[in-house]
Amino acid sequence: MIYLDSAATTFQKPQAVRAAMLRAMQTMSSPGRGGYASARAAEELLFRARSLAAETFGAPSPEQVVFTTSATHGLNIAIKSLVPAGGRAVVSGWEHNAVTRPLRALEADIAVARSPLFDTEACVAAFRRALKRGADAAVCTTASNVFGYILPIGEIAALCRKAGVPLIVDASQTAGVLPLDMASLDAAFVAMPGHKGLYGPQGTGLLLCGAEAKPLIEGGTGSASLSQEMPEFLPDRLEAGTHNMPGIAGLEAGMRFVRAKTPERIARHEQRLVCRAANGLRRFGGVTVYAAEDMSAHLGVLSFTAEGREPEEVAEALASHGVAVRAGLHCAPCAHKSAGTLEQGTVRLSVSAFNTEADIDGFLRAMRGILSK
Amino acid sequence: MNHYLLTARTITHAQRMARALEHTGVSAKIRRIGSGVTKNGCGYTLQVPERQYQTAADALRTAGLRPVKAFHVVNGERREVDL
Repeated sequence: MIYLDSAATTFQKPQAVRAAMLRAMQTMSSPGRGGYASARAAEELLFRARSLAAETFGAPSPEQVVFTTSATHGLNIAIKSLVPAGGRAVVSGWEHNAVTRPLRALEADIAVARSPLFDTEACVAAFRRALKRGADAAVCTTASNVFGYILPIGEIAALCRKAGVPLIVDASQTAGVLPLDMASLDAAFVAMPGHKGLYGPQGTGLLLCGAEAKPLIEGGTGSASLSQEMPEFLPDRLEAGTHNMPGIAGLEAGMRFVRAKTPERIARHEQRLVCRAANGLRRFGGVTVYAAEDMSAHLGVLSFTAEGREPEEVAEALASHGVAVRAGLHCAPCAHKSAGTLEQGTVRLSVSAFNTEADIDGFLRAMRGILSK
Repeated sequence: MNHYLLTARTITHAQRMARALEHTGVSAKIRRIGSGVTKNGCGYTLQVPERQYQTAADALRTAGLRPVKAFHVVNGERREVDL
């Protein structure tokens, strides 16, 4: 199989991730629940992983790193900590349902700072306008999961700071690929999945907390157990229940893999592959490629459509050629509305550190065959 | 053996304090403690040898890490001390 759906999950994982998960299952029990060796081993791993994440993403302390089950989980905590029922939120025009659905559940007044695809200046201007009326929070993705468009998060963070609006950053598509520093963004929260660019397993995620957080669930934490309220302090406040130790072990190994390879090298590799795919697709008649003119401003994610063919039909045909891509709306109708592709969606390919030029050439060969029929 | 106990809010807090002490050569052991010490259910503490207490207290202050409480344990008797 040629796997080109890494924006959903990086399916190919480093060997060290699998080994760490197995080791955790063999040697670690519940952290924070006992003084014996296997509990201690789990506690040590949690602390190592927290410290590594804090160092990697510029969180002021390991205590501000919370383990979640996904970016969606983290975004729900962040949004529900800052936006009251019926409150006001400013979001970019490129958000995922992981942002818009929790806001809708809160019946929030959602101001969408909509801007054309790959137009950074318009994006900043739209945020500036939307923030004028103030908001309980602004939520912004660092890059579109559909189009690979990298948003000007530094400039948006500066606008939020100036407007006194707390910023929630959704780093789902860029964690492990682009540099991210929570402290310099002065973000209230940063949410990211463990299973995409950090190469951990599914069921893992990180939430970096720079503001007061409300628990989404309550339960045992192994601390202050006489109290019937959740602890006031992080990370325990947000981590009720037993941790996913094999998952976190895999995530820690994944973060080490990324740090060793460096996000810069991974990003360059992915941009090269996407550029190759975009150039190849443009040679076919009747294919619309949604790519930035300057491909260095593009993540390893590329959307396209083929005239007269439903995206799902193209994805199904690719699957029959052994190529895995994703079609449709990608859980991001907001982004498709901004790009004008809401009616039928797009076909999306997305790459990881494990893809090669041969994978892209294989995809293009399959596309040539499909389009010739 | 006589020692000091420095209580922590969470295991993570205890681990941060232990790491800070490691860097100054203080060998602090993380131990679980119960309501008898915390008055609030399960918790964690650092056990510091009596002779290294002052070094430990200075190191934690420098690192900006404050224990919740400190106890001096002499012949098995525990007495809270000012931080």
